[in-house]
Amino acid sequence: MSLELWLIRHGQTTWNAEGRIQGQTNSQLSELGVQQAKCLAERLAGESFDFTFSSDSDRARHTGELALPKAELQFDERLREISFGLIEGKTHAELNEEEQAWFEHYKQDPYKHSIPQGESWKQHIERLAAWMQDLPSSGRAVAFSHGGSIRAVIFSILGYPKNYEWNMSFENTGITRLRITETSKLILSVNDSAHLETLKRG
Amino acid sequence: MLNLYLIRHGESKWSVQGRTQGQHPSKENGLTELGKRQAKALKTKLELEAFDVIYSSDLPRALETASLCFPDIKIQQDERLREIDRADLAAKTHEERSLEERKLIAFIKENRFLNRPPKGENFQDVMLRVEDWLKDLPESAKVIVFTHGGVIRSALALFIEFKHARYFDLDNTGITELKLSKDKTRVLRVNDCAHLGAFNA
Repeated sequence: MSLELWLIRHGQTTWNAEGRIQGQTNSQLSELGVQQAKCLAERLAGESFDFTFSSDSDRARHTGELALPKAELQFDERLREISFGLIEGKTHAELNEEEQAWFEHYKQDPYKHSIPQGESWKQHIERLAAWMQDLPSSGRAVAFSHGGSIRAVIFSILGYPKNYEWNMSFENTGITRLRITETSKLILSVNDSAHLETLKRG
Repeated sequence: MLNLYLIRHGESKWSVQGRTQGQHPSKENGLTELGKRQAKALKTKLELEAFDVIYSSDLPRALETASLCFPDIKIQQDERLREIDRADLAAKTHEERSLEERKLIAFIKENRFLNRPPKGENFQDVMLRVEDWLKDLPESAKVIVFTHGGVIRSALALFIEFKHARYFDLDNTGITELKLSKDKTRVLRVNDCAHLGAFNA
C-alpha cells in the first residue's frame, strides 16, 4: 500500500516578477503564471488523482483551478508558504535598516530564527509534517503549494543541510513526486518542469 | 558555470530478469526493447539542446543508451562512471544465490554508505570516484553523462547531505540536472522523465 504524492509549486505571481517577499500574503498570478498553469493543465490531463489538495493562498488555489478545472480542491492552510511576518510585500531593496537586521538574523540560522511575526524553518516543517501525517495511506494525491513548503518536505526526508543552503530549485509549476508507504518515503522526481519547455523557448 | 545532465540508462535485460548488475561487463546485458524505446524518446527530447561533451559509463547498458541518443557524435567513455561494483554478487538472481550471499546482501542494506561485498564497493567509494571525475570536467560547459542510478544518487549525495543511499528512486532514462560553479551547486531537477509519457506507466 502506498501513496503517490505530487507536490506542485504555484505559477509565477506579480510579486515573484517584482522580487517581492511573499510568504503568506496574497498576490495574484502574472500573465506568465497563468500560461504556466495552462501548460501544467495539459501535462496533468492524462493523470488521475484520488485526492486534490491546495494551499488556501490565492496563487496556489488559482494554479490548482487552472490546472485541474474539474477537480474539487481541498484547501489546507498547513500547505501555505513559510511566513515572513512583518517584511512580506517588500523587495529586498525596500527593507529598512531594522528589517535588514531581522533578515540577517533569520539567515544566520533559519532553522531556529524567524522574522518578527513570522515562522522559523522548524515551525514551517512541523506544520507540513503534521499535514503529511493526515494524508491518506494509498492512492494518488496532488497538492498545489509553494517553493519553500515543497523544499521543507524534501528536506524533512533527506535531513537539513548543515549550511542551510537552498540548493534545490523549485520553479513555478514544477512537479515534485514522492512515494510514501508506512515505513518509507521515496523521492521519485524533483522539479520536473518539462511542460514549460515550449513556453521557455518562446 | 558547468551545466551537467545525468542520465540513467534505459531498461536493461538483467534488470527485467532481477539479476544484480553492478559492473558486470556482459554483452548479454544490453537494453530491452522497452529500453531502446525509452532511449529514443530521450533522443527526441534532447534534440533541441546542444552539448559540448558527451560522456558515458563504459558498461554496455549505458553506452547503448548514449549511442541511441547521439549516434553521430563521439562519446567519451569513462570507467569512473560505472555502477557501484557488486563484485561476485553480480549476474545472479535472488533465487540463484547461496545463503551466504543473501546474508551479505542483508548486511550491505544495513548501511549502504559503509558496507561493501568482498572486492566490491560501498556508496562512499562511488562518491569518491564520481568526485574525482567531476574534477576533470571543464569549468564552463554543457555536459551530458550516460550512467547509472547509483552514480546519480552519489552525485546528489555529494551536493546534498543525506543519511541513506536509497532516498531517490530513479527511472530508466530519467534526467537529473545540476548547475555547478566554484562556490555553489544547484540541483535543478531530479529524474525528469516526462518524455516517457504513456509507456512509463
